[in-house]
Amino acid sequence: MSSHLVQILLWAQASGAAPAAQNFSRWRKVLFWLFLYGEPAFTPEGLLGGWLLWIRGISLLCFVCWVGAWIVTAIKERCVARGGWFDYVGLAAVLTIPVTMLIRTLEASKQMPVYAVGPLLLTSLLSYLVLLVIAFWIELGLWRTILRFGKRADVLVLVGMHLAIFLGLAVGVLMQRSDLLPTFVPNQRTTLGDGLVYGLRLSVTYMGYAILARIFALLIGELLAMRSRRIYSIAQLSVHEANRRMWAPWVVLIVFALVLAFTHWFLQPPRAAEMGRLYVATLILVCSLLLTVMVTILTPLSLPTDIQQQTIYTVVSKPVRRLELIWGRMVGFMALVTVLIAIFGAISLGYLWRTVYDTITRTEAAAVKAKNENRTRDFAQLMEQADQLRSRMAARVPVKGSLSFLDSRGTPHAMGIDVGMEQSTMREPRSHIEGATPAAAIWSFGSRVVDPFSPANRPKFINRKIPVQSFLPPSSVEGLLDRMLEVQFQIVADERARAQADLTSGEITRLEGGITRNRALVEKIRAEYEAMRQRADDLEAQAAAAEAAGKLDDARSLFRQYRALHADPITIEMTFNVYRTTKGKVGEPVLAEMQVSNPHTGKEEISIFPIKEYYTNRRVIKPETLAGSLGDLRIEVRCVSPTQYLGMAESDLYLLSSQGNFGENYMKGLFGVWLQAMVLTAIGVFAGTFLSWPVALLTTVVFFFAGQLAYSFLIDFSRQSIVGGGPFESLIRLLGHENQLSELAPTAGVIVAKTLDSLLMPVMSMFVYVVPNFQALDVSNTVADGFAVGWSTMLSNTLLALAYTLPFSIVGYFILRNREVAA
Amino acid sequence: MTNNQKKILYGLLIVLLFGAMFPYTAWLAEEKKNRDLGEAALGQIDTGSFMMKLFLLGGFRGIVANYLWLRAEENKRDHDWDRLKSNVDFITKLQPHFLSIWTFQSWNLAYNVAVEWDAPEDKYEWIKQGIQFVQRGVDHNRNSPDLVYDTAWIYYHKLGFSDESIILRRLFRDDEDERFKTYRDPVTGINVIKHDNFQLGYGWFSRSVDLVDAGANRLTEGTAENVQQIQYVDPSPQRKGRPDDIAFRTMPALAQTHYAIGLEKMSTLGVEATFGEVAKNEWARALAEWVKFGVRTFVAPNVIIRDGKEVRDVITIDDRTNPEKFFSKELTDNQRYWSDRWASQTNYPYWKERCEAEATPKGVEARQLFYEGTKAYKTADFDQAAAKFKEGLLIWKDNLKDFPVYREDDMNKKDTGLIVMRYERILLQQGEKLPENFPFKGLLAEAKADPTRDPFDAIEMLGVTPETIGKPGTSAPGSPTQTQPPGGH
Repeated sequence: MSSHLVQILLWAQASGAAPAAQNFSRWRKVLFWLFLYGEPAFTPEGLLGGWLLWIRGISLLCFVCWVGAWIVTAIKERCVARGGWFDYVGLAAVLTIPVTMLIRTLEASKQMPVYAVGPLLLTSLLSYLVLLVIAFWIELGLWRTILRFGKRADVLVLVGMHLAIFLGLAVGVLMQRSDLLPTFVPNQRTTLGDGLVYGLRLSVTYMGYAILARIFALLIGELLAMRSRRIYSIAQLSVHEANRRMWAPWVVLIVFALVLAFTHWFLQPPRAAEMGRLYVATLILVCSLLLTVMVTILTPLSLPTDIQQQTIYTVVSKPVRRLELIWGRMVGFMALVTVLIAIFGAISLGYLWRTVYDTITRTEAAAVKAKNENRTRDFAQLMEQADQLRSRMAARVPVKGSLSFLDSRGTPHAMGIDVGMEQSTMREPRSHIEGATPAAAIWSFGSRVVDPFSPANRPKFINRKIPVQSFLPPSSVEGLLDRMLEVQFQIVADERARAQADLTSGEITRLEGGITRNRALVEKIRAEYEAMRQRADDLEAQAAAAEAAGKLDDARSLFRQYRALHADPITIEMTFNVYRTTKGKVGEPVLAEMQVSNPHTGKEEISIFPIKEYYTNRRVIKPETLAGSLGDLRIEVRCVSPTQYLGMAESDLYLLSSQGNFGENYMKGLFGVWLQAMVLTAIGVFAGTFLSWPVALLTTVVFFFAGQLAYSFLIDFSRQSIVGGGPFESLIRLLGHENQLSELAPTAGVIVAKTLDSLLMPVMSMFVYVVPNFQALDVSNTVADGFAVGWSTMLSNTLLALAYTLPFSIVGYFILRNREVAA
Repeated sequence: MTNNQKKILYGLLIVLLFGAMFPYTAWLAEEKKNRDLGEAALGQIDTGSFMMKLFLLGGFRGIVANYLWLRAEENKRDHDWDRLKSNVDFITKLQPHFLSIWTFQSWNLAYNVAVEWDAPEDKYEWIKQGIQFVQRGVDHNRNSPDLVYDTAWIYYHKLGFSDESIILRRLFRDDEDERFKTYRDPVTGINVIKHDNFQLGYGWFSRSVDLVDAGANRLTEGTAENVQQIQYVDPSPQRKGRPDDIAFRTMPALAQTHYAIGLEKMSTLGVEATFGEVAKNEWARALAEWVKFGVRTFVAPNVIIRDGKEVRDVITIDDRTNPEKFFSKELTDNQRYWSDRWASQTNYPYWKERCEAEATPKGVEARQLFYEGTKAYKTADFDQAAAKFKEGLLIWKDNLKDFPVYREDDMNKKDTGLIVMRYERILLQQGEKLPENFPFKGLLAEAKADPTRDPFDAIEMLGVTPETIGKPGTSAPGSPTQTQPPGGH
């Protein structure tokens, strides 16, 4: 949360000016949190940021829905819109909106000069007036309606909303007074007016919180009244309905089995090396498609058909809570999905095992045959392919470092040379190092690694610490060595601290006590280490002797015991790409040099090896190199071959912590599918609460497509960074066969289109956030590439899925509550 | 009518209609066969393709194909080669009769994707994928000469003329996939398995030429008696083998010639050159192919008015190499002009004469002496090298007496000049000088100024190493312990 730090720094700076710091700082903390919870545009990193984003979004949504619902009631009950003077003024304000946008568009396309009234622009003045009038009209409508039709709680909410407005204004003014308003230009002078305007911005969010509190109060009663046995019976009902009415799960199972049985109709056999990757991705895609299609068809149909066939009466006439109806249905469908995922997982794992391991065995057999027939190139190639396939059928846990570069003169840079390779913005940036020069790519590991992209005068630190315990088990020789070195370093650090002047006597005794204790500890560990090493050496000697004597079984078991005492060698995996400027000698690979060094003990290992592009190159270093590293390591890679370049991205080199279990990882991948199905279930049930079944079905399908395929487009749309304008301008471009970049001549039609767009786009871009980000829940690429899906990733994905599921189901509950269930 | 009667009537109608479908379907199938319109007539039926087209209800094919193309381009940008291949396979399942995609994507795989991979083995794998891809296209579109030509071209050009061709040809030779190395022999009509990519190129080029000829014959004669000419709404334009495509018809001869050229040097890493009767026969076959091309009659593109009638002359390219006929009154000026123009366009006189020169016993013997001499030179066995070079050059001079065009050719002069230069060096080392009237002495100056090597000769590119002379390698390629012969000449 570095921006948090920046903020704290700002506060600290400001508070440094005032001498009475203590009292002030408590207020400042309160102000800071109020700012965080109110400002919609600022999001700190991490879990806190996610929570803030969600709660602010939900509160804004609640605000819009609540106000909208009451205004609709107001109009229906004729509290407003019945010909009063305020109605005409409000109407005039609404009509002024397009006029204002028109004026702005004309100014932007230079068809008319920019007018100003005093310090404000004409368009700004008009916008403020419009906002004031409409706010006044809404105020009036709300007060009239709620006082007549609302309960006491609603009146309280209204009062709370006004309090929230005052709170927001107060916060804004206080921030302006303390020179803490965020400005475009640093140290810009801010006025009271700026503070007030900013405060209004915050108050919109605060009003949302007031409404959120009311909604929570409404919900709490419902939540406490829910019973699990009723949810269970509704769930059972949904499952039976799905099974009997549509045989949905059976259809899905049969289609899955058919697709698997006849894969060779659809998939040409791919290269052996990446066959696993393709198959895994395809299988997860098939599972995901089948399940989401099943959910998309089942869920929006269940409630509407119940309502249409009036079987809903049999349910609502019983003491079933509305929320139980919603959640019960969701639980039922998710139970179905869970069972299907378990079956799919088992079948596809079996299929993968059979096909992929079959291929690995065949490839290795062909390699042995090639070796016997003296076809060295074929042998090497086939072994690499089998190896690559094996590494993809794993769940590797990488330990990644931070990448920085030295250029051909040895100057440090954040990036290497750009050779003109087209790069996707979605992936990590790649850059290259020149061969036969001091150019190097350096991976730094440690708890305080300098971020190469941070400015030199304000370095940012990132944590890339190596978990040494997972590489050097404490019960091994190297583990003991590491422990011993760590304690020795502690002694040195303590002695250095002890040597400082002006220490208190308490600190001196503490340090000296620590030094003595640690010295004793070092001796103890040293004894253990020596003993274990001796034992290991003895075992090795015995194994060699047994082998020489021909007792191979004994030798093998002794050697195994010897290996058990030592830590495994550490594997470093890398996937670089090669850029050649000349062909060089035909058939000769590009060579790389890797230098692994332990910054604390000075131990290093250097090796030179050929790089095979697009395969996982593997090097092994001795575990002693890592002993005493305190989690720090430095790996430098240089290109040895002259006139050639090696390209790398940060994730291209890592220490392999464990191979993992592919089956478990695959099921984690399917869990991502489960989460997608859960979100879609919520949307389907929500749509079914108030729409007829064809419209509900279409709505669910549209949400699915928007979230799965069009999400990146929607994000661009919400940032209004689409080239070629909004829907109306695009229509003109399409009909006129213009491309997206050409300037349109400012004819009347174009001006009108741009005006409409500037009215529509901000509104539409708000709605974009309602579409769930299905792509983010999909971890199939990680699984297919053979990397482990971490538990933290799964947790954050689950939270993301819940962040969509909960609001949809709650909105569905409110709609169901308020509607008449007669069709 | 009562309800029951209506039911019976409708039932009878249904059964009648159903019954009428059988003879109708049979007639339709017959029509399809006559006009070569059915799927089976176009090529092999692919169940998966059929399923996918059915699933997408035919109409959505275009949209899905567009989407898949875009994804394929994204995969290429992200260097995700395997996904690119599977996307492209899907597109061909959706639109198997869209010929451009077979041509474009096979070229994409064999050329663009192969070049991105560093190791020659991986390049070979992708070239093979490209060839197999377009061979599937041929299976689906049997009557298209374009796809057959594209297959032949990748075998011939990418495997034979790329920078790594000495290694690629070795990988092709060692490939155990017999289906990949099979072609139907144009003369005997049986499937043969060959181990040289140029031979495969020859087989597929011949097939392409035969298809064009059959198509031309079919168009003029028809497959059935009263067949109407089908008017296609949107016919696939034929790229190759149109009536004016002269170069197309030289390809079988060129492929065979390059096979023969490759035989007489180490053009395949680790495989010694072949001489003697085998080489002679291959050169003779090459000559036969060239002559077959030469005597074929073409029609001149221009119209001449002769005796009041509009006439297109019949041209034979071989006439250019027959001075008696060429300069006689047998040929009109127009025929002379086109024969000369096309002959120089295809370099026919050079190739024909070269084949003639190389097919002689003297030619083969000289080549063998040059090869053995060069090997001796590279291993510093100078006495052996000198003897072979001297004997070879004398025989070569004697041979080229009868072949003036080939003698004056630049490539031949370069090759010969290199031998002479090396011979002179050996002599200088031994303290002697090149005799005054030594054959090809005039080529020395140019040879000394030319530092380039023949990239298709493994001895020139890599020297004499365990890898090139076929012994088991003692060290991995690229390791610093491998012995390097002195570079340059």
